[in-house]
Order: sequence, then C-alpha cells, then structure tokens
Amino acid sequence: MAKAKKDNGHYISRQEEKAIAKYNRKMTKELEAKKHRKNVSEDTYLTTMKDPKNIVEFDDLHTYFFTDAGTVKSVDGVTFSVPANSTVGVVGESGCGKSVTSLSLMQLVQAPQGQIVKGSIRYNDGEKCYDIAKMPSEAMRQIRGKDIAMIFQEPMTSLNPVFTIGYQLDEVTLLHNPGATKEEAKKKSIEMLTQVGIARPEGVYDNYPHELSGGMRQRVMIAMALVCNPKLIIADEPTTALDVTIQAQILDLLRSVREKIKGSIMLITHDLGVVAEMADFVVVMYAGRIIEMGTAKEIFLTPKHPYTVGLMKSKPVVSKKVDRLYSIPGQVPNPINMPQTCYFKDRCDRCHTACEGPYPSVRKFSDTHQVSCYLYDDTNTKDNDSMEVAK
Amino acid sequence: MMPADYIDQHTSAQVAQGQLTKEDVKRMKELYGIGDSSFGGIMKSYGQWLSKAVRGDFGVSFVYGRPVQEVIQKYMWISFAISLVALILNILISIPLGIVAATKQYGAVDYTVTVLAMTGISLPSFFFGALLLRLFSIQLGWFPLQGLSDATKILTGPEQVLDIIHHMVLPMVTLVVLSIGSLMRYTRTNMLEVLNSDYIRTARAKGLSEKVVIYKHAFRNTLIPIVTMLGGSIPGLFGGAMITETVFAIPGIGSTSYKAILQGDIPFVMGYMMFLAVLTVLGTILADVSYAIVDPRVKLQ
Amino acid sequence: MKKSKKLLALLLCMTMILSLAACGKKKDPEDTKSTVAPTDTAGGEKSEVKPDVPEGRRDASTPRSAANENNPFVIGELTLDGKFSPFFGTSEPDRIVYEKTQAKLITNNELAEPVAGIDQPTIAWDFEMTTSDDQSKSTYKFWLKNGITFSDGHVVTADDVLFNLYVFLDPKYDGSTTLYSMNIEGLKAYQTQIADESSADAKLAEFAEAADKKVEAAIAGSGEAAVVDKLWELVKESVAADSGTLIANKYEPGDFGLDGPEDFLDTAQSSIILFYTASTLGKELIAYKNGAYVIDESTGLTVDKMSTYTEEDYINASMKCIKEAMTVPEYDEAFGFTTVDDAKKFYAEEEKAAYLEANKGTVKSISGITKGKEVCSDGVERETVTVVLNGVDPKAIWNFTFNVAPMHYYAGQERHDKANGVDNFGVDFSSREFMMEIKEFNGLPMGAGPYKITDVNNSENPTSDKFYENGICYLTANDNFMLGAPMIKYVRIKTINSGSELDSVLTGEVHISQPQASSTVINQITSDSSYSHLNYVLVDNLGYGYIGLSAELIPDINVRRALMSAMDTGLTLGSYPGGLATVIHRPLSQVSWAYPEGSTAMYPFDETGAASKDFFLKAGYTETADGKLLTPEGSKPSFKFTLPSDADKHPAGQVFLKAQEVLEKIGVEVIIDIDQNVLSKLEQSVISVWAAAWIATIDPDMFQTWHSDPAKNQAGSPKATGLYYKFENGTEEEKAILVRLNELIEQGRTTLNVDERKPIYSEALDKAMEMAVELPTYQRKNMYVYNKSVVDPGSITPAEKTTPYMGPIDFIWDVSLLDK
Repeated sequence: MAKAKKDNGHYISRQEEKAIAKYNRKMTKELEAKKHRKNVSEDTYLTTMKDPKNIVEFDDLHTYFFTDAGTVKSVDGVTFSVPANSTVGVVGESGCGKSVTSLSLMQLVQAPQGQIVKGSIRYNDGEKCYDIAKMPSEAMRQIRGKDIAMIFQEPMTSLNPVFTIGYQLDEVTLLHNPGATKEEAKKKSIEMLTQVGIARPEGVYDNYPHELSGGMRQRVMIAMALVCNPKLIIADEPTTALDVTIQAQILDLLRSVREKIKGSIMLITHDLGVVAEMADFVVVMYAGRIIEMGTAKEIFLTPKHPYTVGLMKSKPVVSKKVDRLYSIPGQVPNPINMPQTCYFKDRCDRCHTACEGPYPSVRKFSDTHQVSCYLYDDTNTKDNDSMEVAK
Repeated sequence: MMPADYIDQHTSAQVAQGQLTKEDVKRMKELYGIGDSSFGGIMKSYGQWLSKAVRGDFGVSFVYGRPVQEVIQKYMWISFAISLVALILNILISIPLGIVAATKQYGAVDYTVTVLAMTGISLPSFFFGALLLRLFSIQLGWFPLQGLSDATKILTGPEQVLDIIHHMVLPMVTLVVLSIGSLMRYTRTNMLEVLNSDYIRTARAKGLSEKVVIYKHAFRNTLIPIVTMLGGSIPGLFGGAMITETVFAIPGIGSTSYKAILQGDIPFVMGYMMFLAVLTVLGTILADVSYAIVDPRVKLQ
Repeated sequence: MKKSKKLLALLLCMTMILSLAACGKKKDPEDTKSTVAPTDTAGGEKSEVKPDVPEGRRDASTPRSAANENNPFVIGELTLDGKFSPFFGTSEPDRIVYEKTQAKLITNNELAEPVAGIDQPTIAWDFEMTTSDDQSKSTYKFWLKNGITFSDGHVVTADDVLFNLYVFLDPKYDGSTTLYSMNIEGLKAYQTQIADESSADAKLAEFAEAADKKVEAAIAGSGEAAVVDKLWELVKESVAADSGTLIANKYEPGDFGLDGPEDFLDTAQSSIILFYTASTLGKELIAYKNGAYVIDESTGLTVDKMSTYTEEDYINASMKCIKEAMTVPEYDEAFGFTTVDDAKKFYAEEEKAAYLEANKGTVKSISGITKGKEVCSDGVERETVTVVLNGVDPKAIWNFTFNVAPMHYYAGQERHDKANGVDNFGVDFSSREFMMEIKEFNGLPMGAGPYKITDVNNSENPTSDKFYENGICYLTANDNFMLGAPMIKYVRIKTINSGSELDSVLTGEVHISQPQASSTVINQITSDSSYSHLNYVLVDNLGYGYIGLSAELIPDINVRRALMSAMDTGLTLGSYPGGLATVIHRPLSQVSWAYPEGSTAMYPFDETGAASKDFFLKAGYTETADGKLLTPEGSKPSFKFTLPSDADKHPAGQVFLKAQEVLEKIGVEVIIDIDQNVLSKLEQSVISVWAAAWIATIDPDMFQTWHSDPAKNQAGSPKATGLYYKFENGTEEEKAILVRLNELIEQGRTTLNVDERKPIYSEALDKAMEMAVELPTYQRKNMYVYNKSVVDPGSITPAEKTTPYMGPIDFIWDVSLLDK
C-alpha cells in the first residue's frame, strides 16, 4: 500500500478529476475557438522566415494533449528547421513526440484534446510565409494536401474502403484545382500512378483498396501526396508496416520523387538504417524535446548525447556476434508529470551531479550539430543566440 | 404450445350449465381436427397440416372463420403501412441526430440525444400511447382516439386519405419515439468508430473540408452496418406492433394474432408462425444482399 | 462482384417479399355469384296478397331528416373476429354486427317472453306451442308472414326457414347454435341415416356388438392383426399417460415401496414408469441396490446406457414387459385402465361412420319437421312450419329464435331452385365442402333485417374486405325492412379498445358504447361539465355471482349451513359501489319471471358467530371451555376457501375474509387459497368452497344444474356441488330434500305455461337453498353510455322497457339522430 501511495501516478482523486476536466474544457474551448474563426485577414498569420532557404521552421513548438488524466506534453519545446531540397529525418522511440510534431505541422492533431499551445511553425511557400500555429483551419486547408502532403504509417487502413483508388485520387485534384474536369483529374491520377511505379494504372484506377497489396497501397498514398506537386512531403514511418524488400522499393521511390519535385521530405522513423540512407539532417527526439540534432554524418559518426550513443549501440550489426543485445535500460518517464531535470537522467549511464539541476540547455558543436546535455558544459554553450532559441 | 383449447374455451360455459354434453364437445373437436390430443394424435395432425401447408393451404382460422392466408393478408398491410412510415421517420430523425452527436461528442446535442435515446428505449409502449391519448385526444381533442378512420362522417376520396393520416399520427409518434433511441445510439457509435480510423485522417490530410470528410467519407462507412440492419428489418415490418395496435384499436396483424393465440386458434397460429419464419429468412437474405451492395469488400457468391 | 449484379439481387429479394405478401389472394365469392333481381319463385300469389307489415309503415318515400339522411350513427364494440355469419358467428361483437342484417323466426320481448307478430321484427306471423296429453310429444307451429323480402328483394318462404333448420341440424355443422340438442322427432334417424328410429338403437347396438366381437377375438388371439395392434396402441397410450402423471407429480420409487437413490428426481426421473410397472407386475424389472441400479434383461435395457435413455425408452421397455406378462384385459385389471372398452368404443364408432358414408341419402328429411299452407284466423292464407319434439321441454321454444338467412344467397341459386321443402332443402347432407361454401360468406352477411352491408363509399355490393375495413363495419338502411324503412340511413360499428369505451363517446368517435359500470363514471357524467353531452343507462346483468360448497367434501348439511351463516353476501357490493349491484337470495337471475319476489336470506349472516356455532353443534361438534369448537373427532376444524384471484380483486374476497374473521371467533380455521384454475378443477371434487358466477339462461329450468339423479342427469355442475354423491350417500334428511327437488324440477318441465311454473320454481329454489350447496351473492348492472346531443334520447328503448333482454338500441330501426 505504501508503495502505491508513493507511486501515485495512476490514481487520481475525484477532486483532481474534476479540476482536470475543468481546466481541459477551458483550454480546449479557447484554442478551438481560435482555430475555427472565420474571415480573418491574412495579416494575422503572416510572418517572416529566419532563413529564407528553409521551407519549415519549428520554433519552440509546444503541443499538448488535454486528457482526463492530466495534460500530456507531447511536444515540449521543439525547435528545428527543414531546409529546401533536403531530407530531414526525425528519430526517436515510440511516444517521443515525433508524429505529433508532424501532425502539428499539418494542423491534424486530434482535436479537441490535442492543441498547439505555444510557439510557431513558419512555412515558406516561396512567396509568403505563414505561421501555421496561428492559422485558422479554413486557411490551412488550402495548404494541406496541396503544398504540404503527408503519407502515413499504415497503408492497409489509410485508404477509404468504399471508394475506388481512382475516386480518391481524383478527389485531390478536383479539390485543389477548381475548374478541373473529371477527365483532367483522371488523367492526372493515372499519371501519378505511373510515376510511383504501378504497372497497370488504368486497372488499379478502378480497383478498391482491398484488392491491392500493402506495398501497392503505400505507392498509391505516395501518388496521392504527389498530385498537387507539394513542396514538402511528410512521411510518417512509411515503411514500418511493410516487409524489407518492399521497404527498399518504397525508399527508392521516395528518393526519386524528391528529386523530381525538387521539394523536401520530412521523414519520421525509428529505424536508424532508414535514416542513415535517406536523411541529410537528423533530429533526435526524446520525451517531447530534441536532445540532439545535426547532419547525418555528424550524428552517426560522432553522436554526443548518451541517448544517441545508446541508440547507435542498440542497432544490431548483422555480421557481429554478441552475447547479449544492447538496450537502453529504463523507460520513458510519465508524460503527464515530467520532472524538471533532464528527462534522460534515470536511464543515463553518464549521469553526474550536475544533472540534478534544471533541464540542460542547448550546447552547440558546429553550425548544424547541437545537443542538450550537461556533459558538454565546457564547450561554448553560453551562446546568447542558442539561449534565446532554446528557451 | 399452450394449454388453451379453442373448443373447450368456447363451450365451457355451456358444458357447465348442461346445454352441451361431453359427446357434443368431442364431436366438435373432431370436426375442427383437434379431437385427438395424445402425442400420436398431435403428430398425425401435424403431418396433415404440413402436407397441406406445403401446397399453400394453411387451413381455416377457428377464430376468424376464413382461410389463414386471407386473414393474414387482410391485416398485414395496415401494420406494414404504419411500420414503414414509422421506419422512414425513424431513419430521417435518428441518423442525422446520431451523426451530430458523434461529431460534437460530449456537446449539448450529444447529451440530449443520449437522454432521449434511453428514455425512448425504456418507455413502455402502452404507457406512452395512453399518455399521448390522454393529452392529445381527450384533453386537447387534436387527434382521434381509436381506429383508422372516422366513422361519424361520410367522406370521399382525398378526404378519406387525409382522415386516415390524421388517425395514424399518434400511433406513429408512439412507434417512432420508442425506436429512435436505439438507431440513434447505433449511428453515433458507428460514426465515432469510423471517425477514429486512419482513412479519415488521410482524407483530412488531403485538405478536404470537415463537412466532406464527415458526410462523404465517414458517412458511407457508417452506413454499411446500418443499411444491413435496416434491410434485415424490412420483412419484420409485416409482423405488426401488438401493444400499440391494441391501445389504438388499429386492426393490424399484431393484435389479430394476439387474439388468436389467446383463444388457441391453432391453424392461424401455425400459419402466422410460418409467415414470421419466412419473413425472418427473407430478412436475413435481404440483409446479406444489401451488405454486399454497400460494402465493396464483400463478395456475393 | 459488379455493382449491377448486386442491385439485381436486391431487386429479386424485394420482389420475393412483395409477392409473398400478395400471394394467395382469393377472389371474393361475390364475383361469381349473381345478385340479379329475383324472378317470381313462389307462384303468382305475391302480387295479389298484402304483405304482413304494420299499418302506416314508414317506407322509402318518406324523406328522412337531414341528420338521419347524412350522418352515420356509430356504435362502439370490442374487437371483431370477422365471422359475420348467422350460421357460424361466435363472438358477441360479431353477433351485434350481423344481427342487424337478419330477422329472426321468433324473438323475445323485454320480459323474456317469446313473441312474434306483425308489430314484431319476426318472420313468423304467429306461433303456437302445444303438448300431447300423455306428455310424450310437444308441437311447435309457426305461421309465416306473407310478402316479407330479404334486402335484395327475394321473398322469404318456408323453404328458407327449413334451409336454416337443416343447416343447423346437419351432422357436419360446427357452429355455435345448439339446435341439435333438441330432441326432434326423426332427428336421430336423419343424422345416422337409419330410417327406422327405433331400429336406430338396434343398429347402434349391432355396431357395438360387432366391435365387441372384433376386440374379443383379438384378445383371444384369433382376431385381426390390426385390431390387436390397436389394442396395444391404446395400452401404450395409457402407459404414456401414466408416465406423464408420475413425472408431473414427482413420484419416486419409494412411493411404490421400492428403493431409490436420494437424487432420483434429478438423475433418473424418466425411469419412474419402469418402477411403477415393476411394482404392479410384481417383477423386479429395475431396482436400486447398494448404490447402483440393476435392470432386468427382459426390459431390453442396460444399466450402463441409463444416462442416454429417454422417457420414451422406458415406456417402450414397460410395454415390452407388459406384453410378455399379460393380456390386455389383465392389463386393464392390474393398472386400472379401460383399454378394452375404449377399443370397443373405437371400433363401434368406425362401424357407425362407415355405415353413414355408405347409406347417405336413405333418410332424406327429418320426419318431425314439416311445412304446409293454411288459412289463418284473419282469412289470409299463409305458409306454416311445424316441428314436433319428443317429450316436453319448456326451454325448447328458445331454440327457435334463430335468424332466417336466405337460401339463394348462402347455398346458391342452383340449390335454391332445386329445393322443394319436402325432400330437398338446399343442403348437401353431411358435407364438409358444403359447410365450407357457406363459410365463404362469413364476411358478407345478408338477410331480412333492418340494415344491409355496404362499404365506406356506400356501394351496393361491397367486398368483405371493404365491408369490414380498418376496424369499422359499414351498414346502410334496408328500406324493405318489414317494420319500416329505418330512421337512420347509415350505421357503423367501430372497434374500440376495452377500457376506452367512455373516452370514445366523450371524444365523439362513437355515439354509444358499454363501459364497465362504476360510480366514478356515473359521477363524471352527472357532475363534470365536459361530460354534459353524455347520458347513461343501467341494465341488470344476465348472470349472478355465487359461492359454492361441495356436499361431497363437506358432507354434513349443518356444517354447510354453519359456513353459510358466517358469510355476509352484502360485502360483494363493495366491488360495485353506487348501487351498481344488488344482493340476491335465490340461485336464479333476479330479472327472470321465476325469481320469487321478496325472498330473503335463508341463512342470515350472524357476525357474532352464534348462528354458525349452533349449526356446528347440531352437526356433532363439541365446545371447549373457552368457547372454541372441536370436530366430532376432537380436532380443530379447518376449511379451505378457494378464489380464482386475489381476495382484493375478487368480489367474494371480502366475504371470505370476513367469514374467516367470524369463524376464528369460535375456533374454526379458514384457509383462503388462490388458484387460477379453480373453475376447471370443480368437477374433480377437490374444491370444497369456491366463488364463481353463472351466466343466466333465458329459461329458469333447473334440470342441468340441480337434478341430482345421475341416471337421468350427467351434467357437470351437480358433480361439483356434490349432489350426485348426496343422492346416493346422503342422510335421510338430505335425500328427502333432493328427491322433492328432482320432482319439482321435472314438474316444471312438463308445462309450457308460465303461471303454472312460477310457484313450482319458487318451492324448488327454496329446496335448493335448503341443501346449502350454493349461496347466491350478487347481481351487478351493466351500463350503456351514449351521446345525447347526437342521438335522440326519445327514440331509444324507454327506461321501463330496458331490461337485460332489451337493450337501448335493440329496435335500431326506430333510433333517430338529432338535427344540429
């Protein structure tokens, strides 16, 4: 009994429950109202990019889920950028907030519980720069599917079973190109299907999703994303649900696609092998925050954060013989009541007294490589710029 | 089946007072075919009934004095008409409400819908019917009390039709209120399930407006189990709503069969049971077929 | 699968459903029968003879008032079965409908006297009942009115009257009219087709003899195999019946003096029949020893398969052993059945039915029924119908109140033309198909009554579905009606739900109905202003409540009298407050002419219990020191009173509760038991005291309920009250009462004269009360409620003439509506 009392994480009293519910209602109501306001002029959400060469800049993004058990801080202060014409890989364990980050970018976070609470997401469409965090949903819909497209993890269930492939593809064209006729849409769809490497596009056009295999469905998803020539494709674990041979094909496809459209890909995955192959830049997330980021070379050859190191060590190498596979001990902390210290403290094998202090600030190793860890206090961490950015 | 014996019921008073002898009763029973009530006799009678039933002859009803098919046919259309209209109203009301309840979960509409649903399901039909009658017929005089048409007036053509509609309002309201609850809940549950699925997320990711997402993408999928359920219930419409018909004195198949059962009218009950069995089978077939039509994943062999 | 294929499948489904619904639609018989205006069938006299209708008869040329012409009159009735046939109608609401289209041969007036005449709605112009001097025959003669037509214009003749009689008396008639219970001369011969009636009995004896021989031969071993099989079939039925009873009453081997396991009822109950057989045969077929079953191999069963055996298996095993052990008569002896007799009866019936089939047409008519022509006292020639009965039965006249339905309509023009009233009556003898043909018209009644059928659009020839549509029956005036064209043109009968009678009149849906009589209703009508347009009429109910005591289970007459002295019948009125019921003191409906006016309670209620105590003491009970009684055997007296429903709900409930209280004072225990099936158990002589109600018959004859000689009377109720038992085993006092009662009852049946019968019944009722087996309790009133702003209150039956035999709108043709 005593232990349970101490470990109070799973028991909530009635008053607490009521208080939580009240708080949730207040917050969600406010934020939802803001999202759904109509007829706002563009000025309210126009802004400027820090670096015009970036397509997307995440700036101190906080996305919370207001649940019955409390507030879950899925994304808790994330700052990074996606440059044009590059692939950014976001890695981390399950539950570290990488999917939610991408969903925030699309304003697809599960409402009304999930809300972007703070921060900004700047998107550069070539001419204007929008702050997605402040955009009303009406305006967002113009961008979604057209300029920023997303493909999901589960190809088996991501297509509507009662409509044909062709219908679902045409929908995108007809939606974002007012004035397009059905024939034009059909032509475009078949073009896209050919582009993603499907052998009989006319036949597949008339098929229903359940008549295709997983790999083909993922190709269709990619085709759907490509219809309107997006500038950014977010790929949320696109190959996790597929077998290895298909995985390779899809990745090749993604690569060729990126070259063709001359856009960027934000690739979210927990598979380091995929990241190593595809990504130019890598962002490592843990428990809602970025703990390390840099170019692929930097991260893979010189990982700095003990977590990143552990991740590298965990990946089994095919030819090497080991007695025991390495795994990082411990678990991700309870997302509702996060400690004030470094989140990785309890699992870190290099933890020391300094780690008892508040959450470590960002330390930079180069223009691109930075880490949040007390181990590297002696490098020039007291960079004013970084302090501002990583608050 | 039941301990009621048609002849015994109808002659008991006369036998007790000596107007009929036991031999007379026995002779009557022979004439009606229910003379031999031993196990062997019952099996023999069943065999006789079956051989005729297969050829479509269900015998003559004891209570109603006409061939069973005729009686069922005469009364089932009224029941069917009322039930059909009630079903259509039910659909028109429940499904939109269910959808709204699902999309605005925990909102005002959702709670209202839930409360309404529970009330509707729990209300006994005779109570609600009597309540409506007391209020709208007796006290306010807006609607007639019993039956399907007004006997106190001579009416012609379109007036007759209007009169029948006027009489059907209260029984229809009773039937609808009692049944919207479950369909509403069902729609709401299905809708919620569908809204949480991946393809809805894809649809949103494509940039489709919320309206299109709900009414086109989600709705089609929600409709699949609902259509099958409704399709399967169409033949059941012929079965009649026994209590409502009795309260409103509507001569439908429900109250007709109830009376027959009470009086031990064996040919009628056998015929009616057969009728219901056939309806059930047809309903199942209809449900299967409509499922195949609505859901492209299902193949009809 | 392509979408179009699936749609096709769906379409096929819907077609299936709809065709099922539409299948079996029969053509109405109306389509094939013609209803062309009649040709002269009765010779030339029609045009010359004056029709027998009242002077100043209102005819179609008299215009109706606006309300009567245009507004329908609506009568509220409970649900209709739809059997609107004077031959086959069974329910009361149906009767109300079809009798409006019919005219009776003779009818009753408000005083329950049989009447006929020009001013009565009868086919008979006059009638006469006479008895022969030696009381061996009674004759009923009816003169028929001239010029009466059915609603389609066909003339009513004696042939029509005979047609109706021959339908009711046909062996295959299965409707509810019990004309065949009359002992008409020549009826037996007709029904059995054995010409000589006296030889009819001999013939029947012949059949019985032949059957006996057959069965005996089979038993002896020299008979037909089929007969032997039949015998054993009957034995098996008896064994199965035994098995059923044993199982239902949870018998165990211990009941037969055999051993059985503790959990027998749960594990092997179905084998009980084998135990029973074993104990009766005296052979150890099955036994339970040392914790295990042992089954004799002669049964053909084995212990290890016991869990798989069903009741059927045990019955078969029993049969096997019985067959091996004994003959059928020995079985009857041992097991107490009457298989041999049953078999004999079965074969006798077979012979009789075979003979009937072979000899159809031998006897073409009933000798006791004849028709003729006579010049009447007013010098006009009329047709007559005469019926001769064997013996004298004052009740018989009431069998002639049947409706005279048209032969040409119900049997068809062809049969009508062939009928001659001498040896052809338009009826196919003993033919199920013929009865079915008449039943085709169950939905379309037609006759000589004040109204004829129509539909919602007032068409001439409605279909049966249209006549009775949506719960409403549509009638329109028959302007040819003998007593005059009815005042109201359109009459409708509308179905209302039981419980809504008052409300329906209130809302104006119907203009008259019969709610349950209660003082709340009366108060509402008289004081509530929203009910001001309503009026009510109270009528005595044709029946009365009573408390019965079984003389078999309570043998001492004084004990019965004691119990009756503790019953306060006035308490039954509590269920019918406001003067809606009255107490009666003799076992006869108060409204009958035979009820002795001014009679009082024979065993007045004594609340102190003193009167009861006196009777108990006379019966040999003893009194203890503290005033409590003991039976002659010295035990505490205890009686069981049985009610069919809860004491609060039953009118006699309060009476029983009070009696319990009163008898408690003198130390007598009363247990009140509730048993829903009490009425069906009465004849088994297991209920000692009960409460029930009679439906009163129109004639006060007491034979069926009170004649206690079992040789002469086999009805059920003297058995329930124990009178048969007492006739044989009663005390001298009781036997004397019963003998005198029987005498009186028989006397009352010898004459048809009301004045002669009255004093006979007065004494007979007193004698009945002396036996103390029936304590009459109450007679309640029924109520009619009508809308007096629609119906002219002056046109309904006046209050002094309203009796259970004459309702407010029985003379429907005189009822009129008020113009607004």
